[in-house]
Amino acid sequence: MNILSTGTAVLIPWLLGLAIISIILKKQPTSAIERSGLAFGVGIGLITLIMFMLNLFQISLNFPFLLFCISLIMLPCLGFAKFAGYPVLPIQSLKNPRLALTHPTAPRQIFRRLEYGLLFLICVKVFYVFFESLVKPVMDCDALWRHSLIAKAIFLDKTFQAPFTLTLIKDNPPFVSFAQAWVFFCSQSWNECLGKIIFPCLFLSLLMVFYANLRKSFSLLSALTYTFLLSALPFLALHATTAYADFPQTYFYSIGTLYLFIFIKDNFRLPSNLIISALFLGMGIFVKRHGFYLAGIDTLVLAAACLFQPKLKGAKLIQLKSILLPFIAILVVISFPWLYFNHVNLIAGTQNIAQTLVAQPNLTIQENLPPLPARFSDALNIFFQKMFFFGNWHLAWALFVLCTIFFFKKIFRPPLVYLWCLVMLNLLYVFIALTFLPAFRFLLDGTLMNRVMLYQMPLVILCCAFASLQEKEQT
Amino acid sequence: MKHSLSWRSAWLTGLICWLLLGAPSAFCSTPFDYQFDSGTNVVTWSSPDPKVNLKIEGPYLALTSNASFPYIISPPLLCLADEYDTLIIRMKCSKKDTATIFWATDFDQQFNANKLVNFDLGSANRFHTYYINLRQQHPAWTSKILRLALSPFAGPGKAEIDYIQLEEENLFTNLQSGWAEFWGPKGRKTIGSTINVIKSTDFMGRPINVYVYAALLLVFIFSLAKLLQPLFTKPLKPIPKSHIKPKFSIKDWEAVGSKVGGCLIFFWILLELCSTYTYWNNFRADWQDYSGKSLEQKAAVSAGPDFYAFIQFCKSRLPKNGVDIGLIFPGELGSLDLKGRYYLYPNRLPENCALDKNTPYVLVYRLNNSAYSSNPNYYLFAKRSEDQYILKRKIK
Repeated sequence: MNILSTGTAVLIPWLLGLAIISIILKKQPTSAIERSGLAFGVGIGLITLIMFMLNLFQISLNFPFLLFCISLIMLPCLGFAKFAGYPVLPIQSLKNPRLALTHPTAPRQIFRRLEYGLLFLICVKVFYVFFESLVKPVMDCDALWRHSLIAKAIFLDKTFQAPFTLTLIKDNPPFVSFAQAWVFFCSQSWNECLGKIIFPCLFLSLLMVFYANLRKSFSLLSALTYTFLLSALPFLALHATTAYADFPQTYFYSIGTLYLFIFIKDNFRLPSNLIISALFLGMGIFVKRHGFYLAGIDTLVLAAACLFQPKLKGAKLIQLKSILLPFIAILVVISFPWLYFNHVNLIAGTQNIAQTLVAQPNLTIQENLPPLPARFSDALNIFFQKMFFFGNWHLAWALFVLCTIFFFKKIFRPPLVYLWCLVMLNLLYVFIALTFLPAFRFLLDGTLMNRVMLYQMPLVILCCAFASLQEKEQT
Repeated sequence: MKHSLSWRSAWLTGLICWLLLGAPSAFCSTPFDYQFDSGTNVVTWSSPDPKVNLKIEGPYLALTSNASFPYIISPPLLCLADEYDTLIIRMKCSKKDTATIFWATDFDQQFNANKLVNFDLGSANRFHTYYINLRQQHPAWTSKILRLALSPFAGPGKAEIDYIQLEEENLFTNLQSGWAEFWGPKGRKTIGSTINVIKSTDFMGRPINVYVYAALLLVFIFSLAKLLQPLFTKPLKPIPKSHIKPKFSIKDWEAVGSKVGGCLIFFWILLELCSTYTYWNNFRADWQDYSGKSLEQKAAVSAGPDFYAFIQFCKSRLPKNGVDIGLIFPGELGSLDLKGRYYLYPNRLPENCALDKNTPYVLVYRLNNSAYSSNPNYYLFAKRSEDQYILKRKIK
């Protein structure tokens, strides 16, 4: 019974996501792996938004009604896809050597063994993440006192609008809680272990999307190698086993940015990539407060890319409008329910951050922090140590530095320069947030830095892949 | 003759000094070598805990424990940390666990968490020789060492110690210590209550990344030198102009980068294999603790069986729709409020268990005389044991 209900909790978002993705991608050739990966994220993101909106309209949640609401979106999408002849899940693409996982035309046996070896290592990691998530109850601090407790409250009260739950939520976006509550509604019972199934599914989905996009440009071995490197980030795998918001934020932000990069790389040709990017970044706003600022950084980079892209024809202002406006519109539509609900806190919070950034002497006195130069040097030292000498990221930052030094010619040219800039801007964002704001104490006690840095780690590896590998080398 | 007498007196003085000062180590080859093959120096290692039984069994010092944290303490050492830095222990334990070494120095004479090194015991019921370079593994191994303490495992169990030696480091012991350190407990667990940091595994007191970077630097220098070599060597035959390559192109630079990057990925895979060992340990531990158990049993493992039973007791007694509650417990039990809040919902426990005078129900866990039990506004509502009960506010 548990397996069946958990399967339903995974299958419904996947089907909903497939239906929506098929409308967005139309007849664009994409692999089943990519569509499946994207589908789960889109589906679960949309379901949590539906749950949140229903509660906003004072409608209590229950599984039959949720299923009805989901069907209202899913069935017309599937019908339209069928009518227009869009492929929903192109199983045939698995047989295409260019897109498939296996690579029978690999020139040497050793390559095939290596590929299988890498695939085996990735599968081991995925299995481990699933096992660790599902076998243990909720144990970690933030999950216990916020995300999973809110999930339990939503399930038992059928709404998040109870005073106790609202106190818990404060100004923190509730995606993680609604995602767990969705599993509880599907199984009609509160099972804290099964509630965490969402996170390993997101982990698998991230690997699938990452692999599929690398595979479009690089050989099977290269794509698998870099996917393996992503799966081998210890901090990423660890967070995928917990019920924290940091991994889902990483998931939505990195996929959103990945498609933004692909959109820029393909000379702004495929609007579907822009739509997917905006969808994921918008959902990221519903996962964590950081999602709002991260989406802002991406929007800035997109604007810069529009302005400086020489291959775009026509007036710059028109280009800017035709690309940036739809992007921002989707972002706003997706995140509107949360932004509307939280607009008071958001405005106050942003004002507060802006004031604090300007009034550094006051911050030093009020929060009893060291003066800015001392904070700056302390932060530099901590960042350096944590990035290069800890076990969180293995050698990811070293690889990034190496790629910047050795492949500077490629990195400092469009389109890769935009991805590189995104990584650096995110790093700057983390640095500013932890040095110039009261959160400095979290930098000292080690509470926050790695978790905030996690969001961009898939992008760091993606940047290294595009810098170090030769595109369109298919063997 | 005069000369002979002075030689003899000096010899006698030396013997008396040796008998007086060096007697405890009379059966040792160095001042800090405890062999335990006679009853002579068993008294020099002791345990202040009556639940730890120490005795000589054959050639070994046998430790049998019923204590939660058994440990034995060395005799006074008074050695310089710089000179004696490597501890060698040959020991057999009845279970696979993590052992801990503590020490007291002239600056900090207590055994405490600021000065400890952990090491893995390896397989149970087999003798292992452990090499621990304490100076490399902990910065607090400095100045003068007064005493050592060894805790072989936690909880009940038995350890048989063949010998304990404190020596000066050498290449062999350093490599042994480094290897054990690399596979040891440091870097295997996340640190911080909110899953913040995974430390790197260390080798000879430094993060393994340091060695990887050093190796990458060597690869870079070697690749660059190989690339630049033709520029500095004169060819034997003159090369036609059409065959002369540009001196140093970007492609050459990128080729060096590819080699260094390839090596980095190779090291990354090795590090991942090391991490896989951690995952394997986690997997085995969690399989043992959680697999095949019901949700209730898993929650009991996670929250502690007694506390979870108390939670279940409270849930069965409190109104089903949920009420505002308070929870009082001794501070040393840690963050029980987190789990209490989580498992007690729909009963609402405020953040940090903040109680006010109107809280209708107060749950008391492991406290005999809390402020509320003597509060005239509250009465005993339900009782699980003497120190676990529910108080209810009187309705005026």
